[in-house]
Amino acid sequence: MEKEELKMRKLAFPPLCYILLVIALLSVAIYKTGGLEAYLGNKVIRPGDSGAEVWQVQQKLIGFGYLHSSPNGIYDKKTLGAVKQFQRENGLKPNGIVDQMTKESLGVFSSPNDSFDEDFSGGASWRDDVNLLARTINAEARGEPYIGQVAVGAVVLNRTKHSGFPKTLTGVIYQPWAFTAVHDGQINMAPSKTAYRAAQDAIGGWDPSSGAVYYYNPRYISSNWILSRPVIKTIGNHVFCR
Amino acid sequence: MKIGGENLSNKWVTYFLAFFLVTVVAGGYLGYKQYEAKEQYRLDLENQYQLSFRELLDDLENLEVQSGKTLVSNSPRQVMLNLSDIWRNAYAAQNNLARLPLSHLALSRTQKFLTQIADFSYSIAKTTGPDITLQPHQWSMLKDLYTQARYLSAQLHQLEMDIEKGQISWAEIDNKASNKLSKVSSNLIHTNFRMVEKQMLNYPNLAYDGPFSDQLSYMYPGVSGKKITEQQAVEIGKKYVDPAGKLNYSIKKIGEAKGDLATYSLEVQPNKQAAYVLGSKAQENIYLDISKKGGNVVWLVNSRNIDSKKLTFNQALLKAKEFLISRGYEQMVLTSYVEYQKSITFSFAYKQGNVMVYPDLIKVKVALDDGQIIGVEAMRYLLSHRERKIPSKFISQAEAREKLNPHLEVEKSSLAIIPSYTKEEILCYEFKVKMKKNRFLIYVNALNGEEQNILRVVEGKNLYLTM
Repeated sequence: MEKEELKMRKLAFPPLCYILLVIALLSVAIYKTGGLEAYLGNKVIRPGDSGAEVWQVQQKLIGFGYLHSSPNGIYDKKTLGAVKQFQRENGLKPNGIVDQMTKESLGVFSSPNDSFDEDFSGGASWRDDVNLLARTINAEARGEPYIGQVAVGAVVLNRTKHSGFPKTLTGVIYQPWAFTAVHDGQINMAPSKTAYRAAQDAIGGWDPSSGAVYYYNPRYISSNWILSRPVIKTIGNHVFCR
Repeated sequence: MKIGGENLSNKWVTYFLAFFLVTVVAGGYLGYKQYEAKEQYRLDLENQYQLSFRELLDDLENLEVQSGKTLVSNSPRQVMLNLSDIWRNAYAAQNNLARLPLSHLALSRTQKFLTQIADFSYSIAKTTGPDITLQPHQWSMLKDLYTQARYLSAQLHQLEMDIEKGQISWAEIDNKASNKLSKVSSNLIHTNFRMVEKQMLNYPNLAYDGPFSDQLSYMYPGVSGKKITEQQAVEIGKKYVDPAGKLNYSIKKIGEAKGDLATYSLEVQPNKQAAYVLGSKAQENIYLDISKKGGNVVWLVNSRNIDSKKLTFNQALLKAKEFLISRGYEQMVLTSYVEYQKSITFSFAYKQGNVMVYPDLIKVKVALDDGQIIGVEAMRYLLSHRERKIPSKFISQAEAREKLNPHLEVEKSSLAIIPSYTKEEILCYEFKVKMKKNRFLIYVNALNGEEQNILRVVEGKNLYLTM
């Protein structure tokens, strides 16, 4: 009886070890080849499919010069030829199947907030400005009341018209150490719908901060000089100053 | 049992050790890879900072040289070309300066200097053209700027040499969790810049005709009138949000703004039963700012969700127009609009007689589910609205039209008052023209027939803007 027990224990342990090892290696493999998304249902587009994503793919192919007809949202023979050629010229498998890698090489990304695309037509740089400002507002003022979010956007815009700051929106936002949420990467988060709306209003001219170029949260002050700035008003957690 | 025990425990130990070893080796390998990647990133970042710093030095040197040349030149054409170069170099210097990992405190006066020298050069080059000769006061201002530029350039060259000698890295300054060496580098660079700032503060402020000049702090011709009390502000808010006085809500002051445009901040809270605030059943707080002087609404915001789109463009426009008239904003004409997230923001300008007065601008935002007014932006209107004196003598429309580029197809024309580069107001003829598939608005000065400004019209499915 004991001998059998021992034998079983001898056999049970090594397999456990191997199982753990296999799991570890498998996770690394999945991670390195693109994560679980690649295996769990990010749609792959095949000939015969139709829909908005096909339309987007066609637009991209037209833009790059591979397709010479108008987008129609249907993956037809012409589109197939264009896709294959694109894949060939970009080191991808030329099988006509638009998988994740092909999509991303074309620049087709499925965004969680697809509805925003319909809002932006024409005025490309204006659209980029709204995007960037929305990200900044989202990063800096997520939990603030709506007015506070518009005010933060207004501060960014006010700075572009102030002699002591860069003249472009990009310059103001990405000036090193100007905004903590840019410095720590929160700006790279996808902005919420509210942040987009606040950015639109700020660019539209709404300025609840009454001309401020600085703001701070009294609980998180990194240097005291900002306390010397003349205060205009307080909205939510932010004090706005000249 | 004993023999079995020993064998088993040996096996345990061996397997465990083996597993442990594999983990350690794998961990060590991954750690090393991370370190390699980090070092590369740090190097790339350092290169970026070096690029910006060295370009800054180049720009400053060019700036200094060009300023000197402008001062000694006697040829108007040469002066104009040099001024253009100065403007370009100052602008580039400012860009590069803003990319360095230094706090705003260390930089703002220097930034201001660069902005002003760019602005100053541009404003002179713009005003008279190839027959420029520098006026004595302009020459002496430029000389001041030249002195400052030389100082700045010299300081930063010194800093560059120190950085070379001390082998200081910019990327290290950025890393706040730093060791002693990078603290020293950070101190050195910051001290240098702070010293420059202090020195620059000693130079006199610049007064000239440009948007960033020191004398042009906000001019508020429109904000006049008696100072009102908090109670009066609440009454004004009530009438604005509910003119008929029938609705069910509470309104109170939640804050104040100090400064040139002092305001009371009000919050309107609809009460639970049937609150038709500003014409809607939707229950959401409304916020508005009212100016302390004169008791005018500066802006109003209602951030409620809009779930459906039921109104057409024209229906929404009608709502906006009705709102403006009912609140006493008369003769407002639509100039542009943007649609987003099921609402449309309309921009209106004041029309005096047959002249469009663009500086008097109001925006009205209409919700497309029920036509409620969910936004008003009237700051510009407040700051500049007044009856203008239109000059009695100016060129005819036909004369103005002759000044246009012959390749254009003119679609519409009218008189307009627009703000100039230096924020003055100018009477112009506005021509709406088409070239290929793009539309432009061309403004011809009605007094001297010169092309004053050109705006490009951006048209899309949901918007009509100018840039």
